[in-house]
Amino acid sequence: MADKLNQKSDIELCKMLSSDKKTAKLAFDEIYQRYSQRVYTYCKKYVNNQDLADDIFQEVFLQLYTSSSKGIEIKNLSPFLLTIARNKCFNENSRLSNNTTSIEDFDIGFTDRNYLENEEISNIVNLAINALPEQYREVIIMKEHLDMSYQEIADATNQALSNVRIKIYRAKEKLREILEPYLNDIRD
Amino acid sequence: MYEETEYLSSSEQLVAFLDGELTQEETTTLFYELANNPELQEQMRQHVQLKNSFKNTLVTPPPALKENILASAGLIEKTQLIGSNANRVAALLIGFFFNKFTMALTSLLLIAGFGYYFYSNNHTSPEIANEIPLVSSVSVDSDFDHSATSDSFSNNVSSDNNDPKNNRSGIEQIASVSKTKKYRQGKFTSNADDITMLNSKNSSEVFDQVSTNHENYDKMKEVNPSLSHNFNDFKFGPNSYSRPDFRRIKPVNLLPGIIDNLSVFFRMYGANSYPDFNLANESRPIVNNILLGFRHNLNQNHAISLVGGVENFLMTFDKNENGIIYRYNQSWNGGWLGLGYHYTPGEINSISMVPELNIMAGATATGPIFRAGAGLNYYITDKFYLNGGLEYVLLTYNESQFSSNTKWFTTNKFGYTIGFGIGF
Repeated sequence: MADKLNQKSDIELCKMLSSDKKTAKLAFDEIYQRYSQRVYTYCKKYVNNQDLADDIFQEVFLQLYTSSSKGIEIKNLSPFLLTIARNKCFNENSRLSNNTTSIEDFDIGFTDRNYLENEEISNIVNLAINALPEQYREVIIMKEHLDMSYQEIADATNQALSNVRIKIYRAKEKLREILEPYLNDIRD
Repeated sequence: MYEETEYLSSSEQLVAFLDGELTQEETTTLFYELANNPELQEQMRQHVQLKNSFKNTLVTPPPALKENILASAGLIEKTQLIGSNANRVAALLIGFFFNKFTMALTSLLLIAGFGYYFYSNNHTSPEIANEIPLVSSVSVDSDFDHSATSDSFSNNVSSDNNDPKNNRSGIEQIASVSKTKKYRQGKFTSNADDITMLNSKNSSEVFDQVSTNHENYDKMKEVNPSLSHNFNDFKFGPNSYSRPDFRRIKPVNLLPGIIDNLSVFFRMYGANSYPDFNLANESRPIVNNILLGFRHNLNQNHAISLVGGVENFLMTFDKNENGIIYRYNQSWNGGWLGLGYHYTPGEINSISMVPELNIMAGATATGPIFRAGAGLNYYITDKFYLNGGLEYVLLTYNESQFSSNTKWFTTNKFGYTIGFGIGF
């Protein structure tokens, strides 16, 4: 059964969610295995808050199950999940007004070493991403953390491909600008 | 990859190339530009470093989130609820203070109770020791020797024992002493029946039996067959605690020896669980962690019981799902039914407390359950007692309950119990 599930398409799995409980659970397990990391990473990177990310992540998969069990046809599962996550993250960010660091305030302090450890690099980059405007932050997370193609990002965010490309370019230029003082300290 | 009408600057082409979004033709153009533009080369170096800093960043969600989703969707049995912060704080406070404080208090009481029991049963107090010769000095002759009785009392009792008419007075005094001793052992309140008994045929022998703490009640019955049978042959238990209470009225007894020795008991638990994790209990706190049992006294020390209860257990187990092993933490509520054995070593002198040890074994829907406990029963009346103690519980469950593999897991609980018992 597990092997067969591996071979099923997202559409078939979504249809199985409206079947009996046992079948639905198996389908859910497979969908969860395919997309949980991606959705969770997006939530966590976007809201930058563990508890909030956990809540949003659970709501996303619950909404998937609710929609599927009601017979709603989901043609493209990955963008569907990310769109729900995106909307919920937007709402939470709006509710919390502003939890990002402005580019002007960006400062990670100084280090005596002539290189940065991996964890430090990760923290610096995360801070820099959080300092980006929301429209740039979103596409950078999708591109660099979730390894999505430009086209997938365009589908998930309901934008034109050229818009996505421009946003990614501008986001990266911003990051390069922010991180320029530290880039030389990053060891290969 | 992009429409021909769309113009891409060298920098944009560079970013798109690093993202794998440029066509072969566009890449050729970019490389030509790179070869002739040192500034673009520097940009490329920085973008490559930036790109490298993003690697390996996919995050795996905590396993508990999946269970929460499945439970909320109704795809697995609802085992846990995501509590609000207020609930978590309340659970933490209750768990930390109430459980531990009560366990510590109960432990102290148990140690004190058992300690006092062993001490008092091995050491006769001077007060009682003085009284025993007084009563035991009564003649055991077949004929009741009034003068001997009176002499025995002459140094201690200020009543006129020379007058044969005062024999009753002397007997009353003796009965009074006897009563004092018995009262220290329990709930004896009557002297009228003692007097009746003393006026019987072999009063002196009965007299002696009374004074020796009722240890041979059968002899008393032989001496005075008319003596009331309205009490059990056991010292302990709701029905038998006040054994010497001769004034009790004998109830209608349809099943002699069964009903008399039967009692019902109820207990509640407050226990710490191992494993322990922050999961809210099923939202039925009133019926969680309770026990109801029917107990039958076999003799003065031993009893058996039929018990059942509803209890909450925190479970941790591994489950193989499609080749992936998940660790589940869940809060499980279920009923259990079992048999128990109770041992009461003896009563604690001068206070109405009886220590009790018990073990129970039973079954739940997930696997066998075992319990062992120690407690103290405090008798408010001869038919009603309060109970407090400590209890250890072991629940064993099989993974096959939750998947196709067979592997056993256990949950241990240790905590206090409070409750009461009622005799029939």
